[in-house]
Amino acid sequence: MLMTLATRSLWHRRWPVLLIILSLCLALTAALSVERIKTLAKTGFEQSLSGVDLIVGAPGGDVQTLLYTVFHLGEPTQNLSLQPLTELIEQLPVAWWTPIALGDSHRGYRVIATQANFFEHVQSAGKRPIELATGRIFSAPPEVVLGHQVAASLGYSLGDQIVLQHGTAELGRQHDDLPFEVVGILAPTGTPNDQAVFTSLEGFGLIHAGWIGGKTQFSARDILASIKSTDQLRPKTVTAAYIGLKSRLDVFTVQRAIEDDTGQPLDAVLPAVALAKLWNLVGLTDRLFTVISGVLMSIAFLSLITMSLSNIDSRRREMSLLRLVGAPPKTILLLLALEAVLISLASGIIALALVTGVEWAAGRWLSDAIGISATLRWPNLLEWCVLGGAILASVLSIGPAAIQLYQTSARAGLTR
Amino acid sequence: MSIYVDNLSVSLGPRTLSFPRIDLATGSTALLTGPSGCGKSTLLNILSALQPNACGTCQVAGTAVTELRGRAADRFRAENIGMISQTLDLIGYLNAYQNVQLGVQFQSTAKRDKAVQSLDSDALFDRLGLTGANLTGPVSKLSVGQQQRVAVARALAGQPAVILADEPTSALDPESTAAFIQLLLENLDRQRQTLLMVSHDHGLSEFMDHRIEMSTC
Repeated sequence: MLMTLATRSLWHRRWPVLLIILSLCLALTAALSVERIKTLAKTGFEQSLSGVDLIVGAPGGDVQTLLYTVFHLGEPTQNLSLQPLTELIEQLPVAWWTPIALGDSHRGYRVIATQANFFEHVQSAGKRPIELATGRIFSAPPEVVLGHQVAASLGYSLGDQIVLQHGTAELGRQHDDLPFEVVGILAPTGTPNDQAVFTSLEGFGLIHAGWIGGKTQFSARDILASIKSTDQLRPKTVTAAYIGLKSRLDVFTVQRAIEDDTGQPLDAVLPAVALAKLWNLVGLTDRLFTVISGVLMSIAFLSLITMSLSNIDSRRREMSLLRLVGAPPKTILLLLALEAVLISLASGIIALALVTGVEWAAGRWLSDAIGISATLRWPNLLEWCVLGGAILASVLSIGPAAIQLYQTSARAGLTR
Repeated sequence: MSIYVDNLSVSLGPRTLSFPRIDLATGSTALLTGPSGCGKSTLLNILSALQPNACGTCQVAGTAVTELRGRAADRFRAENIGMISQTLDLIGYLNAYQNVQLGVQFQSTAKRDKAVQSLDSDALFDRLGLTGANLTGPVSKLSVGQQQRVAVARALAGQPAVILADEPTSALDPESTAAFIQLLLENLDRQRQTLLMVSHDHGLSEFMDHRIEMSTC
């Protein structure tokens, strides 16, 4: 009977109730969206570098190493000598490793010189392997593979010739004596690799081999024609190295071995730890999202309290009648609470459906933009908490109205 | 006896209302008259355990109602009192059946089961002349006369010991008033139910066994 009363009463007041549901629904949609965007952003951020157990770079702090190797921000303090680095790493229990050399760019996008095994071991966001959208991985110089966003924004396709630029400043000198051919374009990875131009270490070595004193002294084309093996083009120094271990249990042992090496000063950075540190540094956005959710929810519940209070007059008679036929005060309160639960439940279900629908519909875009596969899923614990909190808050928000109605109905008798 | 009031008074702020002696046997009917503001409705509130601070003797269906508090008062009202008022006191968005159902909803399980078992809403509606009315739609869509009949049906549904009616005919013309009173009296279980009706219409006393005049304010 209580449910019948609640549902009929809500239906009877359907227009104001619909407005309350709409207002709550909007607030919940915003709060759930913010929560999902926050989760997606954090997941995307934490997956900026997947599949790598250690990054070896010049000393300078783990966040700085992460910034210039993964996010292409800033510069290393110094380069690493490749020969002693190779000798050191080959003594350690590593499953794979690949050096990376940075320093050049193409129209604002960083060039990453590395080996072909980079694409076998470094992963996309969501721990998926890096895949080619089209073409193949570079082999002999001068060849490049473009990140998805580079190709999309600059309109490159396979077979196009591009000129790399020395340094990352906009007005840097061009290595225009040897254009590189686009041989592959990566599928979206959802990592900063989408904004990178990849070439081989040998290609990187080639364009710098004749580069003396900031000028081209020998044509790269001539050098390429004169060498017997491209191995001769491998640079003597690199910027950093990515390492994958045979067993993750060895991570601290290997880290210590690298940092204790006396050959050259090295830092070995755990990417997950450095990413978490960096997220905490930029976590203001995270807290801002939470504050925005809170404000939106508060506004919605204030409007709910206002609407409940403004409804009192029209409901006094109804409550008095219930008291006349013997309804105890707790039944009146239960009825009001049940109505509030039904309203917030309806709002929550609609908001959840909206957010899930939008996330699902925007899945392709999200995948391209931040590499996160947005799939249909149950709400996570935090989202359940938001929904549960909304129900609890809506029950509490009818408190002032309920107290007034209860006091009135308890006094009410035949005199009205 | 069904209603026994003696030496009863109640303080409402600075004002104290005193009530006449009433002694109504089970199955009897009485008309309570008096000028406006003399406490007729307040007396009905006391009889239905809605006015807790009354002093004196007030027994309804064998229960001293002035001593009832909280849940006991609510349960007493649900099981022993049937209310009919000039404002009809129906919940407009419920249909006639649901309004009648309210009449038994808050009784104890045993009494409710018994009442529900013997409650034949359709038969009751037929007896009250509601055949043909749209009883499954919101009761607010019915005419005033039909709503009055539904209110009577709800008051009778719980098989209460006492029916308290507060000026139920004030909005009716004399002809409709007579018909309504006839209908109400015909449907009372005269073996078990007592009717106390408040009205300014002294003419209704011809339908009742007793007339109680409240002249003192």
